[in-house]
Formats: sequence, structure tokens, C-alpha cells
Amino acid sequence: MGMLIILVIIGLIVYFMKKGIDNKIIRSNSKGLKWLFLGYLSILVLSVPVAFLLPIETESLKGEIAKGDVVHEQDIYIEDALLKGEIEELVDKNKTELWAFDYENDVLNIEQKAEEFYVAVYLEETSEYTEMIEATYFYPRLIVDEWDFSNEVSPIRVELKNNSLNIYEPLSVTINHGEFEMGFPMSQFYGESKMMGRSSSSSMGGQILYLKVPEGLEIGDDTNVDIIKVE
Amino acid sequence: MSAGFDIFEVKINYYSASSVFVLTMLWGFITAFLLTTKGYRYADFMFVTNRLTSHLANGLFLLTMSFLGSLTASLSPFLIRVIIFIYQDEGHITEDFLMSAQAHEFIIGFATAFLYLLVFSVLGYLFGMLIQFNKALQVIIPVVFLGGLMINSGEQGMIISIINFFMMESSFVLFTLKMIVSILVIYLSTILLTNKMEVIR
Amino acid sequence: MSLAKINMDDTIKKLYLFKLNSYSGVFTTLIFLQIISIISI
Repeated sequence: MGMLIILVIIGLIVYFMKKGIDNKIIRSNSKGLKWLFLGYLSILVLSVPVAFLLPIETESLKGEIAKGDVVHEQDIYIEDALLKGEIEELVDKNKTELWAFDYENDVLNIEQKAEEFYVAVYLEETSEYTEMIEATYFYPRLIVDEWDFSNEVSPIRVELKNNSLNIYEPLSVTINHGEFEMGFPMSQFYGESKMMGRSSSSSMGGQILYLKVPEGLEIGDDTNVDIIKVE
Repeated sequence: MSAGFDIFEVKINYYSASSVFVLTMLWGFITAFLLTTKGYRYADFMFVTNRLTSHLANGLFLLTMSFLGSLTASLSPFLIRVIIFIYQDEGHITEDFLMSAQAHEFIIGFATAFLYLLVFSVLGYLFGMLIQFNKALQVIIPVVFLGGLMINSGEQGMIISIINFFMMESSFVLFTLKMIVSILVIYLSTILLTNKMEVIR
Repeated sequence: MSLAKINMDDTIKKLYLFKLNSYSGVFTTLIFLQIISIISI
């Protein structure tokens, strides 16, 4: 980019030098240039109302102004509530994903099929189910600066194969967002100065999976996740 | 800027129209500089003219240039906003100063751009004229400029101090005063310094 | 003196308009530069 600008400027200088001396060429173009300039100016003027009519998503993303701590607090809150067995209320209040599997064996392996992420697995033995496993996934919150991108997060995948419950990492998500800043020279008098550099923070909650299994189900030896038992 | 989680990536793009303004100021400087070169000055010869009329006509031309340059540059943020919208590929625009800025801020932004552009133009004009006056200045001016960057006046280099004198001014009224005085001083000294120079030389 | 003044004003005006017409290439360059920097944002 920097290189391009320099090349353009060098080209400019050469162009100018030539044109300046060869007056005839410039004069013959003069009328066309007037139209070119008017055309450019009208595009610019036209873009003013268009720019104001464009939709902006700030409102939908902002919600309550979010901060990094929100993520951490939310995790602690969910953790506490889950240990107290308040799963139903949590499901009502949070974005979740639910899987239910028929399961008849006595032993279940819980295997995480990806190494690079951590999932907290809560296990509740319940008398409600005899031949069924229910898995509830709590979407983590994702906050970048003060914007809440939790809705963009994709869930983990959970599959039951033979006698093991496999947990796969979520699909990778790239969140693009742009900030249109008041640039120089307007920023000299208005808007906060960004001259000192920008800082950006982002934080994401933990991956939480809550399992309800029949009473007396044994956890197999191939299990490779930490299990938090809910009494 | 991106923050990588194991499975999430966040990319933040910062957009602004600053580069349009910077290039426009560069354009103003180079154009004003080239106005003083031989090819351009032949025009003055075609009219019965003296050095002063030529200077005044060039001054009007520089004013026109600065007006049109800053007008288009000040409108460019709107066009940029539309272009970002078209090419944002699924991204979000989370912050948009156009939404919060007041109308008078754009007008003052335009006036500021005009003053900056004009000061760069008269500077280009001064340097151009000086170099026409004495070719040795072609070497001396860059050397003085680079030296000014390094010579200490207070904490920073002299040139940096001068730049800060204008760019760090947060009162628009004071800024305008500083700018107008500087523009007049530069322009008038160009006229005085080259007063005895022939129209074609 | 007043005659000279009128003549001078007239010359300046003519010269200015002449320059505006002849050097309009300057503004083409401005448009190109601005468009380049707008689309390379």
C-alpha cells in the first residue's frame, strides 16, 4: 500500500511536468474534465444521504454495555447454579443446545475428540431417565470490546457412538467487525483522540456441557474429560 | 487486529478517511510547487503581466484548489461509508461516527481541511519559488527540513514542535488564527522574496 | 493610478481564469488520488 502511494506520486509528478509544458493537450481536455469533476462531486454528494440510510447494527449488538467481566461472572453464575441443580432455570435464561440419545448400556465413555479446547462436563444421575442420556450445552458468551457477539458462536458437536459419547470442537468462527472512525482532520476538535494507539479486548466464556444420565450408569475408562458430578 | 481463541477469531477493521486528507494535502503541496516550474510560468508570459499579478492570480488558483480539494475530501467519508457497507463481507459495523456526529462538526471539519490544504499549498508555492530563485536551495531546503527534524527545541525536533503547534491545538478559533497568520506570512514572504525575479527566468 | 488598478484587477482575473482552464489537469489528478485512497481503504 505504501509502495503504491509512492508510485502514484512519482507518476503524478511526471504527469504534471509533461502536462504543464504541453499546454495544448490540457486545454483540449478542459471541458471533459469539468464533467469528470462534476460527476465525482455528485457521487460524493449523493453518498451523503445514502450513508445515513444504511442500517447499523450497533444497537442490536450492544444490549447492555458489556465488559469482559460479564463473561467471567456469567461463568461463575452458571457453575454455581448447575451445582445447585438449578438447570431448568438456567436453560430458560440462557442460549442452549439440547441433545437426547437412547442408551441401554451400563457403561459410558465420554471422550473429547479435539485436544485444543476445554469443556467442563457436569454429570447428573437422575431417576427420571432409564434408557436415555440428555446433553445440554450452554453457549459461551463472546464479548469483543463492548460488543456482544454471543449470537455468532457455534456450538460444540455431540455424538453417541456405540458406548461412547463423543464431543467435537465447535466450528471455527471468524467474527469480522469494523469501526468507522472520525479521521483527521475532524478528529482534531471532535471525538476522542486515537493517536495514542488503540486497545481492544475480547473474552469468551467457557464451554459447558451438562449431562443427565440414568442412575447407576458407570463411566468408562476411555473417558478423557474432567467430570464434575452434580449431587 | 485479531484476537485468536482456539476456535474463534475476531478481526477488527478500523476505517477512516484520514488517508484521503493526507493524500489531498500532498497533492496540494506538489501542485503548488509545480505551478512555479517553467512550463507553468510560460502562461504568465502570454499576458502583459508583472510578478505581482502573477502571484495574485496564483494565489487565487491556490485558494480554488484548496477549496475544491477540501470539499471533496470532506465528503469522502460518506462515500467510504457506503463502500464499506457494500464490501463488508458479512462483517458488522459496530461503531460509526457518522451516526453521532453533528452537522456543525462536518462544517468545521471542512474548514479545518481547507486551512490545512491551503497552508500546504502556500508552502509548496514558497518552496517552488525559492528553488526557481536559486537552484542551490533544491539541496538546502531538504537538508534544513531533515535537520529541523533532529535539532532539539525543547523536547522534540523543531519540525515536530511546529507540527504540534498546529495539530495539537484543540480550540478551533485559535487554530484558525494560527493558520491564517501562517498562511499570510508564508504567502507574503513568497511575494516579497521573489519580487525582483523576472517573470520568465 | 485608478486606471492602473482596474487594469491590474482585470489582468489578474484573466490570468486566473486562464490558469483554471489550462491547469484543469491538476483536478483530474486530485480525483484519481482521492478515488485511489478511497477504494484502498
